[in-house]
Amino acid sequence: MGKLTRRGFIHTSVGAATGLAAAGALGAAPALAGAVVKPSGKTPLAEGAPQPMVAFVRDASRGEIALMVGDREVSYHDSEVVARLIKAAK
Amino acid sequence: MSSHREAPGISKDPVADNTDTYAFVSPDAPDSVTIISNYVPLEAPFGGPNFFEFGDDVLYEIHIDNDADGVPEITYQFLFETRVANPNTFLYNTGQILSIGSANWNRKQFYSVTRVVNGQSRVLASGLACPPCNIGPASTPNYSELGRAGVHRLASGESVFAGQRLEGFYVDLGAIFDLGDLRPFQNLHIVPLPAAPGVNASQDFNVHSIALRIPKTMLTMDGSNPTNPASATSVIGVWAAASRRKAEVREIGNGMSHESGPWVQVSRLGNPLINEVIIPMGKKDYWNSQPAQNDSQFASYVAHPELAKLLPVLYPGVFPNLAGLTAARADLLAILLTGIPSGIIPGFQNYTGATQADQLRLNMAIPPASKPSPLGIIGGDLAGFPNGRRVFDDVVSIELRAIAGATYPLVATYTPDGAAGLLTDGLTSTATRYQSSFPYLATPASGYQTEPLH
Repeated sequence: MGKLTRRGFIHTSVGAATGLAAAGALGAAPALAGAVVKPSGKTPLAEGAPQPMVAFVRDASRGEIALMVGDREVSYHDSEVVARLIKAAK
Repeated sequence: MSSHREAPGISKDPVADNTDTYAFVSPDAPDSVTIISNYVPLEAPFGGPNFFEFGDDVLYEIHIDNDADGVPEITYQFLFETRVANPNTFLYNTGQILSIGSANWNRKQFYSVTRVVNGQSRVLASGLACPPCNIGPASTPNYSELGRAGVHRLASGESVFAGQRLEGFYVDLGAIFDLGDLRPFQNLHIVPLPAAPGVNASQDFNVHSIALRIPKTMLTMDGSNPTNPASATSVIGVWAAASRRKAEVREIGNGMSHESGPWVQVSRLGNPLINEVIIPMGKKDYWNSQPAQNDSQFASYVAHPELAKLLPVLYPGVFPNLAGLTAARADLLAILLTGIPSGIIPGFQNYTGATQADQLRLNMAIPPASKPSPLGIIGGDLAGFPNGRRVFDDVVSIELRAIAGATYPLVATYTPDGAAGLLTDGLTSTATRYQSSFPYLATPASGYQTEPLH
C-alpha cells in the first residue's frame, strides 16, 4: 500500500470546506500509525480506500491537519496542502 | 434528576446521557457486586413507532478503580448493533413478540462486551441480544419472560443485561425545579403553599440499563475475596461514561453518516446529583468531558455548594445555622470525592486516598442489609449510599440533608438546624418498582398501559 502523500491527500479528499473539514475515502495508509505524518514522495492515489476518513484543518496558520481514521487521530502537517484546501474552498 | 438531562449539551443527546449509576453487593449473591448504568432519560413508554434503544454510535463504559488512584484499572465496554429485518414496514413489530428471537420483532439490538484490564482488551462476548421495549399486551404479552431472556451469563464469570427497565430513581422534579420547592415543607417556602405529599415525576417512565454482576474476586486489586471492612482492598470506585467519535459527517440526500476518530467522552456519572446540582451550568458539559481523576478542579463547588446558600433564602428562618456555615464542607468532600476515612463512622470506611474523583465508593466487605434503610448510612444502614448505591436508596433526601448540614458534625463541631435531618421531597421507595434478582430494576412500564401525564 502507498503512503499518504500530499498529492494523494488532495486528490482523494472530497467536500473540503473552510472550517475546514474534508471527508473522503483516502487510501489505507500505514504511515498513519505514527502520531505525526510528514509528506513524502509521489505514490499512486488512494490504494485500497478501505474506510472513510475525515480531515480537519485545525490550525491553518501552522498547516496542521487532524486526520480521523478508524478510532485514531493522526496529526499531519503540510502548509502547502492547507493552502490549496483554502483556495479550493473559496 | 440524578443526572437526567443535567447538562446543556448532553440533554440534546439522550442515548448517550448517563442518568444513574448503581453499585452494590448483590443481595441474592453476596459474593458478587452488581453495577448498573442507565441511559436515555424519561422514556415515555408509548413512544413508538421508533421505540427507545441504545446508540449504535456510542461507546458505553463502566469503570472500576481498585487501587485508589482515580484511574480505572478495569473497564467494561459495550457496543451495540441494530439489525432491521424488514426495512419496508414502519412497524417495530409485525406480530406478537413471544421470544427474544422472535421473527415478528423487526428491529433487534445486539451488543458486545469487552473487558479492559490495565490497558489489555479482551472481548468477552458478542452478539448478545437485548430484549425489546415493552409495547403492550398485544405485542409483548409476556414481557417478564423477554426480560429474563435478556440476562446472559458469560463464560468469564460475569452476568450481563442490556435493555429497557422501569425507572428506579424517584424524585419530585416538578417541585424541586420550581425554585427548590419541597412539597412537604412548602408552607415554609418563600412562596408558600399548603404542605403536600411529594409527586414522583419519574413514576411512569423507563430507562435503558446496562447491568453487570461481577464476582468480587474479579474486582479486588489482588484477586482476594474482601471480608475485612477496614481493609483498603475492600473498596472499589465505580463510575460510568459514554463516548462518541470525534468526527461525524452527514451526507446530503441519502441519510448516511460516517463517524471516525478517537472516542470522546460526552457523559459520565459516579455519585448521583453531582453534575445536576453541584456543578454550575457553564461547566456542566466540560465536567462531562473530564476524566474522574481530574475532579480536584471542581472541589470548590463541592466544598461550597450553591444549594447550601439557597436553602436559607428559600426557607426564611428555617436554616439559621446553615446560613452561618461558611467553612469548606469537608464532610461533602469526603462523601463525594475521596470516600469516608476510618474513625468517623464506627465499622465503616470507603476511603480511596487523597485523589479527588467522582466515584461511587463501595466497601465490598459490608454485607447486604437484612432490613435495608433507603436512607443508607444516615439511616444506620452501612450497606447503602454513600457506600455504593442501591436501586432503592433515597439519594435525593440523603443529599438534601447532607448539603443542609446534617453530616457536617462528622468532621467538625456544629449543630445542624432541626430541619436539616428532616429534609425530603416527600417520596419513598416502592418495592414494586424493583425486582429481587438481577438486574434488580423492574419490568418496564408498557406503552399500552401507561396513561399520558394530565
